[in-house]
Amino acid sequence: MLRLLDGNAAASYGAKLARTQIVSATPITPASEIAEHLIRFIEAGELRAEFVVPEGEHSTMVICMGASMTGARVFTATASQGLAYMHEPLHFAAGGRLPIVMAVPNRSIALPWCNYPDHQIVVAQRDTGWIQLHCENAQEVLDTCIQAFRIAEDPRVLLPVMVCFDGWTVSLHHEGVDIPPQDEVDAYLPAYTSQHCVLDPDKPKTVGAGADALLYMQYRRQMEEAMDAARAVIKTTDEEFRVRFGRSYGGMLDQYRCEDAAVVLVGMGALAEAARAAADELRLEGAPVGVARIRSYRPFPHAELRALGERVEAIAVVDRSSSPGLGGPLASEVRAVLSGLPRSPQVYGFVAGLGGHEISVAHLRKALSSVSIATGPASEDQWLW
Amino acid sequence: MKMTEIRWHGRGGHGTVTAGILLAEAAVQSGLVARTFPNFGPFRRGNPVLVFTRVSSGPIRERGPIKAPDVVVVMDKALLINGGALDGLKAESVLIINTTQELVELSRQVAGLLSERKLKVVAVDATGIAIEELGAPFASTTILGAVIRATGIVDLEAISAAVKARLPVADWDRNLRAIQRAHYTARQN
Repeated sequence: MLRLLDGNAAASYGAKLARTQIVSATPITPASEIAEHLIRFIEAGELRAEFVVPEGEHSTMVICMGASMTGARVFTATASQGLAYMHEPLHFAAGGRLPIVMAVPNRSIALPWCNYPDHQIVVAQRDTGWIQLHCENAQEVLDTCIQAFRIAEDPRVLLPVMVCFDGWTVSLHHEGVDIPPQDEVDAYLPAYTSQHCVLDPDKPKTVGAGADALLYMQYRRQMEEAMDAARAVIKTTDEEFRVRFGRSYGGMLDQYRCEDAAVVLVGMGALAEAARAAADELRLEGAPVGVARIRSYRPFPHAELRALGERVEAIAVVDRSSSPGLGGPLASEVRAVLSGLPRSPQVYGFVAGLGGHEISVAHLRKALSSVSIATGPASEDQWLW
Repeated sequence: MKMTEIRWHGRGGHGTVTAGILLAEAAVQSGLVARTFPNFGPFRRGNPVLVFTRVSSGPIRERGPIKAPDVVVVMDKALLINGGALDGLKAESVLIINTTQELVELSRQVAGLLSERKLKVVAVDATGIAIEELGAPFASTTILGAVIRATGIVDLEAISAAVKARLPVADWDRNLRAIQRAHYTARQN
């Protein structure tokens, strides 16, 4: 059924179709509507779930953890300042291996105060142990919320998942979205049965006890292994989604016209659409260019980027965030995974679209064109204004 | 149909965001592709609000603000001068203005602002109609009648379906009456 939805509504439909049982969230622009939609679904009896009112984002995540430990399927949403405030319990949820799914419409972080999209604060959560999937439109948001529960709850993974999408550009952008039938979603996503971390009064146990150095390091190593296992799970989950629903999103790395490309633009989120339009324009002019959208930021698509790096001459990485004192974090990570290849392409970094500053087709054409004619190693990242 | 880009200039409280959504909903229900999104300043009533709506028969690949609109809808005439409503207009653009002003005088005024360049101007008293039909000056749904008459993007039937899909049942009849009145009373130069 095709409906006109914005990214926030799409996220809430995804959570509803996934038969989320507990929802908790605090209002924060541009994520507030996600919980508002879910509350309406619950009030109308369309979703059998309970909404727990928290006093802030820190408590929200703690509530989600408690709910997940009862074996419930848990969903939440936050953004920007709220995500920053939630930073501490994000580590708890991942360390506790709780398969919570959280929608995150990407928004900049103060100061200066700004309501508009970039990836600054979401990229800053990269080391929390959460899987981060980045979507580029409302349809992908809905579909990925469903996929996210399958990934999170997979016994090989058991890690929480953030479903990220650009605030405003996607979260408040209405477009046609296909809502899959409930019975199909039920067949794709079976009910969650928790095996590993259930609070049961008949079988008392302690969760979150202290650990010595060896135990701590063993747990952290297990998280790394779970992230590694998630790579295959993310790909098969997306592929099985395509088989059932006819849509898929490239698994870890969504590649467009990369097969014979000499130059590839790498980025995350909604800018990929404008990048593909820029690539199409340059292809008409004879330039062999492509676009690789990082869909899974954590786990990072090492293997896919290396395979790409072995084929291409140069890569333009467009970051929607900057790490002051380093440059674009995505560019530095792409360089890191490509190092040591027998023949590494040059990687040129661009910082663009901070605080919602527009990223147009013209901006991305400029990035791709300048990289196509560039020679020698990249100097510091360029800012696209 | 090639892509039509519509830029709405309203104020918080006009219902401009809803108007964009209703038009996009009508387009999607008519088998077209549509996208619409708002760009607010501070979140408060009375503050200028921009809404960008794109409708096309083929895929849309843009999400940015509309800089060269095919259609501009002005909910408050004060925004014509101070709200940037005339920015980026093309020779064939349509300008739809919510006003009680006579069309001849309005056209002359617009021509003056655009240094004599001819433009298709549509005048409609959407606020007046809204006050009578809805009992409140929520002119944005009302003005849809004039927008679809001037552009032909979708028909009244599609707008009616969108109103029924998006608004509470109690609001259907009066909104549809207001939209029809705007449709038939809009004057075009």
